[in-house]
Amino acid sequence: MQTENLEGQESIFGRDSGFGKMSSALSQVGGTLKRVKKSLGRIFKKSSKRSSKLKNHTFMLLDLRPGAGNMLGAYWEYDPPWLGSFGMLNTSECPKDAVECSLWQILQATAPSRYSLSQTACLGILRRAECRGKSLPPLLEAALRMQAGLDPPAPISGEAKAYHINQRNEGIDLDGVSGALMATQNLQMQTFITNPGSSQSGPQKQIAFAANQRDEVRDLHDVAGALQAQPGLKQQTFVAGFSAGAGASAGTIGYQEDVAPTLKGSPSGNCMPSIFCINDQGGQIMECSEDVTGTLRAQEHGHQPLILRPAEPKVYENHGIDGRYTGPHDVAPTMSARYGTGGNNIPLVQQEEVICIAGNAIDRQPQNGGNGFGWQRDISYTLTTSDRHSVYARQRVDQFRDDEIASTESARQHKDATDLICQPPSIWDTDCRNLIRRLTPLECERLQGYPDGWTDVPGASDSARYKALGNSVAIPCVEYLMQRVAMVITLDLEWDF
Amino acid sequence: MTQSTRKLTMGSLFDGISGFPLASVRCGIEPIWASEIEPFPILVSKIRFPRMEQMGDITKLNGAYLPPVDIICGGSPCQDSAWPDCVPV
Repeated sequence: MQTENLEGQESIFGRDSGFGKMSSALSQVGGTLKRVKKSLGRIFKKSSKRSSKLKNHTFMLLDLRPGAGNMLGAYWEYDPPWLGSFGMLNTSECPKDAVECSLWQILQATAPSRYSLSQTACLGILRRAECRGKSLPPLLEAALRMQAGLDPPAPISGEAKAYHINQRNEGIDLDGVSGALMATQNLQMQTFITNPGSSQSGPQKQIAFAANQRDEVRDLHDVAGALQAQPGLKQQTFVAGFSAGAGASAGTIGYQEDVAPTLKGSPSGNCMPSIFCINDQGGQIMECSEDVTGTLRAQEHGHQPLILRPAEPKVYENHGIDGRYTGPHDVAPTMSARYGTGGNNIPLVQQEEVICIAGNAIDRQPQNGGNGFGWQRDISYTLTTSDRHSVYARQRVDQFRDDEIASTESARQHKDATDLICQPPSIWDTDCRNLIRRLTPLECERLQGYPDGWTDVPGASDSARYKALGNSVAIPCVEYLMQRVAMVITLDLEWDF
Repeated sequence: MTQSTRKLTMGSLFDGISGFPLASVRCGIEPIWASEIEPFPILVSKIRFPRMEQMGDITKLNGAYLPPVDIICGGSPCQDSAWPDCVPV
C-alpha cells in the first residue's frame, strides 16, 4: 500500500524532484518509519491530486499554440506541473523590467518662489527635529538654517581650490585662484577647481582621473584632472567635485566655444561637494572612480547613459560619433537645453541629491505628524490630498557652455549661478531663500506618471490640482494592469470564436 | 463579427482626473463613459477626454442605461466609507 503510494508519487514527480528523492531514501530505512511513510503517502496523495488538477487547468495567459508565441514574454512564470514541481505561481519577477526613475529627474527646473518654504516652516522643521531628537541630514540642516535666516547665506562647501594641470600631468596648486582654461587642442593642460570638502559634512576625498590617448587612465588623486573635451579624440576626464565657492576669480576663466566645455560647480550657497569621476574613452572604456558607490548602470538604448546610484551624481553620455545624447529625456531640468552642444563626447554630468520632507512635518506642532524621520532621500512620499511635500534639491554640476545657451539652460538662475561667466557671485545675497520648496503640481503630475500639465486646465488652482493628483492613481501601475487586462480579454475573445 | 478587431471599451468609475482612461487609451482601450462628482476633476476629464461621456454621481447610475463596456475600472474612496468596525486594527 505504502509502496504503491510511493511509486505513484514517483511516477508523478519524477526522480529529480525533492520528494522523489526523499521517498526513495525513506523506502530504504525500513519498517520503523511506517507512520512517517503513511503520513507522507497522504501528503503525496493530496499533492498528486493537486497536481493533476493543475495539469487540467488551462492557463488563460499562456498561449502555447504554434505561432502564437508568448505574448507576455517572461512575465508570470509557471512551473510546469509535469516536471515535478507543485505548480507554484512564481510572481516574484513581475514586472520584469523595472523602470528606474529618480526624483531629481522629475523636479521642475524653475519652480516659482511661492513654493519655497517660508522661514516659519523651516524653523518649524528644525524645531521639530530638535524636539524629537531626530537628526536631519547635514545638507538639509544647513539649507534649512540658511533658508530660515539662522545662518548667513554662504557656500556650505569649503574653500575653493584651483589647480592647473600641465602636459606632464603635474598638478600645480593655484592657491584658490582659478587659472585660465586652456582651450588648446590636443593638450592636457587645463585648470580645474576642486573642492576640498564640505565644512558641514567633513572633508571628503577628491579623486580625479586623467585619460590620455593611449587609453590609460591616471589617478590624479586629489588633483583634478584635465578635461579633454576634444571632438573625435578618445580623451576625456570627467571630474565632478568642483567647488561652489568659486568666487569672483572664477569669472576669469576663459572660454572658447566648441573647444573645451568644462564641468563646473554651481557657485551658490547650497552647492555641495561631490566626489565623482567618470572617464569616457570614446565609448570603448568607461572608468569610474573608486569612491563612486552607485551601480554603473547602462540603459538599453543606444550609447549608454551612465547613472550612478543611489543618490549620487548622474551622468548622461553624449556619444561623439553620432552626436547624440542619451539618457532620461524631457524630464531632467537641464536636459532640454543640452542638444546641439557642440563638440563631441561631452558628458552631461548631473548631480542632484533630493531630500524629501514629509508633508505632515511642515507647519505643524512638533508633537503632530511626521512619521519616522520625516525625511528621506530620493523617494517622494505618497501624494496625499492634504499634505504638501517638500524637496531639497542639491545643485548640479553642470555643463559649461557659451553665454547665450547657458543662461537659458541654467535651471536655477534664481538661486544660483550655474554659469561662471554671466552670474555674479553677489547673487548669493538673495538666492538662499529658495533652497527648499514644496513639490509643485507639475512635479506631482510627473510623480503620478501623468503627462506634464495634465491638470493644468484653465482656472485650475494649485490646491485643486494637488488634491486631484493626490486622489489619483499612478499611471504606470494602471497601465501595466490595463495591458494585461486587454490582453486577457483579447485572447479570450479569440478563443471563443 | 470579428471580435479581435473590435476595440475594447471601458467605463471609469470614481474617475477623478481620468487616470484609468489615460492608461487605457495607451493600451488601445477606448474610454466610453466616466462617473465623477467633483467639479475640478470633471473639468480636467472633459478637456482631456472630450468624447468620454460624464455620467455623474455613481449612486444615481442605472446600469440599464449605461452604454455597455468591456472593462469597468475604478477605485472608490476608502477612508470615508470605512466603518469603524471594519477598519483593520
